[in-house]
Amino acid sequence: MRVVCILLKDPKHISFVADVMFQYSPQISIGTAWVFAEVGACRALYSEESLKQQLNLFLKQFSIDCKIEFASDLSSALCFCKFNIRSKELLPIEALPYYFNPFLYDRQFEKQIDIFKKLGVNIFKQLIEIPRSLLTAKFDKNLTLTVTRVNDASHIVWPRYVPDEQVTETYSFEHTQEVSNLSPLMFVGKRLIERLVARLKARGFAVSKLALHLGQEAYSTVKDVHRDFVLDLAYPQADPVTLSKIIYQKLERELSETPLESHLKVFSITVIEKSPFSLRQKSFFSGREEDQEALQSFISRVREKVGDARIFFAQPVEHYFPERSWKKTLAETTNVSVELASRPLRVLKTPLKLIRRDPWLEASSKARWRIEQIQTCEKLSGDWWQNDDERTYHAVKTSNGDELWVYQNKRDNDYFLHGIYD
Amino acid sequence: MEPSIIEKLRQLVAPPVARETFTFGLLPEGIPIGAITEISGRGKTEFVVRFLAEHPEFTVAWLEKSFSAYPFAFLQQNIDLKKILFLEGSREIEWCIYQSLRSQSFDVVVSYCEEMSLRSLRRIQLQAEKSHSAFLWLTDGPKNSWPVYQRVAVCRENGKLVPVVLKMRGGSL
Repeated sequence: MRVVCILLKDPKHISFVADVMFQYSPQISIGTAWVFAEVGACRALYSEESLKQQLNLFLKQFSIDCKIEFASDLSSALCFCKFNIRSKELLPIEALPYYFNPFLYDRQFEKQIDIFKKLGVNIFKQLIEIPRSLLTAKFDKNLTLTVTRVNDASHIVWPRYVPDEQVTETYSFEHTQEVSNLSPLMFVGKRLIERLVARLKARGFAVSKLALHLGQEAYSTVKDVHRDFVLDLAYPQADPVTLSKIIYQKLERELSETPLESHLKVFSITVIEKSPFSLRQKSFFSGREEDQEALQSFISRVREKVGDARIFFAQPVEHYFPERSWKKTLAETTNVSVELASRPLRVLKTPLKLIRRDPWLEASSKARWRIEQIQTCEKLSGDWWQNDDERTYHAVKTSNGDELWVYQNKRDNDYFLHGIYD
Repeated sequence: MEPSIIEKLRQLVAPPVARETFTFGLLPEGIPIGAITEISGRGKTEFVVRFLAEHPEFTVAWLEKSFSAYPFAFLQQNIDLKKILFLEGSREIEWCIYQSLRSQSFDVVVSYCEEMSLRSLRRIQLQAEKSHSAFLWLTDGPKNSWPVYQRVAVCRENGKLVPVVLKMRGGSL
């Protein structure tokens, strides 16, 4: 077994570091200010030195100060970090509590450590040399157990670290930071997003749905102190840059409609839904994966700007009526074979009622077309159970050159302009 | 001033630029890549659809201010709908066009939008050049905007599409 211990200067980063360590090992435990990961199984992938460098670089990006050490058991790895010594025998006697419980500092040994010091036992080498019978006679069972662990601590049980289901990153603004617009907000937001994505990516997830929270200074004039927005993404995102752009657009839209009323106190981002995500090996030659990612990123950003239903692929549907013969989708589409009369490339959202006064077709909007040629194209029956009427479609050539697609209802013989051959 | 001198000066001011083009059976000049092509007149949509049918490998963004295209008819014209992303831009249409070019995800960006500011067109022109995409601007009637590289008017004669090149920037090559 090989254990890596990451001792953090600031314990508030502990869950972030623990989450991130999932990319190296599934066996993770946390202490009060340190994280353990079993890395023996991934030694074929990373040497201890390269893993240490990777972690140091990665955590430095997020301004996290830490010490990283490796050992064959939890307690030794932690003590190497704590005391900056890399030999178990040379560890000071003060390291003894960490061999009893490497996850929490236990104060019960403080008296016994003083006694050992008075006896001239200052390092573990001296402690190990004390006969076991003497220890059991003079000290309690916990200390005997601890000394046994100094010799072999590999059997200590790892309490499993369970990451939170909802990952949240929060930033609290100081009073001197008077943030009331988008630019400084996103300056902070980028860092939060990078942290969120790193946490999820390490666990094999991408972001699907987010909740954004803006907490404003609670002045008496402020109506909504807490502003919350939900962001449902078209495609799961695991790229912090793309996600930043999407969040920027969301906030830009929301804040342009309802601007902030006072300075911000808190900005937090919570991942409400996540999707499985695997880091795929990218093809060096085709760049297909990059193209796909770029397209998905584009769709997500535009969807946020213009609305959900306004960006889509068209999926043909087997239905005779033109307005029901296709539907909007963002999923992969399948083409169907079509054997119908040629239809126009432009169709009106709502058919326009016409009055036929030969040789004229007149609309209520005063527009009118002189019919030069009228030719029946197809007769369509809708769903009788939905009271759909039968339609007879005509291609109409007009004197001004327009080619119209007009249908006549069977029920009342009314004419409707439905499309234009453009 | 003699016509030959005027021609020489014209060549100096606006020399013909050898621009790459996408081939198109209906238009011997082709569709320029990295530039704006304005297509107007009755039959403009069919003209573009036929161009896309000749290049099934293209990925296309089809943007309209108010959506009126009928995708089912595209299918009838042998267009692979998987390759076309439709977008109804509404008042954000110019932003959407710019972003679709900027994403570099599309070989061709088509937009049916009657009014477009000169500033936007200039931005689109620069972005199209950068992303090496063809931008096809569909309008009902010909416009007189200088960032447009090629201006084509389409009409139907005896049921056939007849394109006329009204303008080719830099003159003929």
